Amino acid sequence: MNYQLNDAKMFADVTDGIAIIINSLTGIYYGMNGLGTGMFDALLKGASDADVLAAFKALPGAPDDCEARLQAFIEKMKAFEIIVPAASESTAPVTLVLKDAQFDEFTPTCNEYNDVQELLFADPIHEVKEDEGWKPEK
Amino acid sequence: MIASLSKEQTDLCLSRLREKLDSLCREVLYLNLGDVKTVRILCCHPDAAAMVRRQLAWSITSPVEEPDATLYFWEEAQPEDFHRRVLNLNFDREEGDDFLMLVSKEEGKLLPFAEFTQNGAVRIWKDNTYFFSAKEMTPQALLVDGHLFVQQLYRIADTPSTNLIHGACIGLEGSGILLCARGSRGKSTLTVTAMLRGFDYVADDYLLLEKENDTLTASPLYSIISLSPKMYNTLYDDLDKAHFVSISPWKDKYILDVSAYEASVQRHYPIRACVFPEIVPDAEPSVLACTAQEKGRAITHMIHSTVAQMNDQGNTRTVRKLVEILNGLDFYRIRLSPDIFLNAECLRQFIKHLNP
Repeated sequence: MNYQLNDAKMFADVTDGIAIIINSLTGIYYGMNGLGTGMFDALLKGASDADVLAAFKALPGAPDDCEARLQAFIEKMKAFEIIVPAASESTAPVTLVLKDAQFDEFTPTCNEYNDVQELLFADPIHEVKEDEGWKPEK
Repeated sequence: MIASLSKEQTDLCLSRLREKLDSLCREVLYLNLGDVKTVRILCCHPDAAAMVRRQLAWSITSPVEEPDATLYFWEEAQPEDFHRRVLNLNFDREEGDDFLMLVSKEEGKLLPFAEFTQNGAVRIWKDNTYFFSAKEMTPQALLVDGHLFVQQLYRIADTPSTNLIHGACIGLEGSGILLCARGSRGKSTLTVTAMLRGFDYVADDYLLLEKENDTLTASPLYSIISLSPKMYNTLYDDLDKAHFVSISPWKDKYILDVSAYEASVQRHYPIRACVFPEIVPDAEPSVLACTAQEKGRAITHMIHSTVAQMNDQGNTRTVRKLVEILNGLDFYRIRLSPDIFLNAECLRQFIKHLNP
């Protein structure tokens, strides 16, 4: 299967090895990790999901469930409407960076940044009490 | 580390801070942000006003009766225990975690209102009041987090039709070109060379975009430019009216005060197109129209380089506004040759072609 950018609503760029995608209609902003960026970039350059999977499996230390990880990543991009199936089939060479894959623990990710509250809740919040303040657990 | 406070605690913190800083205020300056917003700056350090003048000379204006925002500017040499010492918040910061954010819990929502950055700065904001400290009141220390007050001015200048963006702007005879590029792609060199060759000048790094009806205009905020040491040496004789401000904190750029070039500066300058510079080894510079895909990449880059620097990635309203503003422009790539003056001439011909 081949995919292309859903250019009816999405703009994308790869900056310093990180893919940034913007939904031009909603203003929602998406970011990928390094491994995800490599896979996304390859798909946009005409590689099929099979091409990407083969490159993923060929990485030294790749886990047994490469296919499931790639499919989860593709499904997430489809759910965000970042990519859509391409009209024609094609194949292209895929180069994934081992260092990125190792850093990302062989898990490509795509995240949505649309709510400041979510970003805040991603970190533990320490409530400061009126009388005793807050002290970190030792 | 993020610490949450009740609304009452937040209000108490702010009143303690105001009390401390009001007593330190030495001078009051006013900024006019592109005729869109005005800001009163309370300079609470003997050198603070000079530091503002050094970077924002083109935005300083005469006193305004009811400014849209107020900004306190002071030196905080020991930010590590500021929350305890000044705000009277009784908690210890986590060891090894040099970032602290305070959020105010109001009606079940968490509203960020204070950041203590890794560079030792204190940033506090509430409604239209901003508090900005530096660990040292020196030109270099004030550039650690980018141009002075840039995140605060970005927030203040955010209206339905205006936005501060990261980019440069120059032009000729009323036809402006937005220049946007990744680092080390020749944007600043092209902008400064063009200014020295008689182009109209708006900005080198940050500018205020305003869209009114179908007209997009750009206005300057800062009166400083940044050049690589190599380009600074190349243009040294031409930049005879510029003053050296500082080397950048990363030691890769020289920051120059170009406020003496006021005669070249344009405000509310109409934008006709957006150009992305790229350095190529070709002998001759050239300009090429972007494909739809290249335009999409360019818009994404411009928005990302703005919102990421302003820590505003989650603001869908701003992102939508910027997409709408930028999508209406034609996008081009300028392939820059090693001859910087030839590049400026190429841009001159291109703008003339846009504006026959």
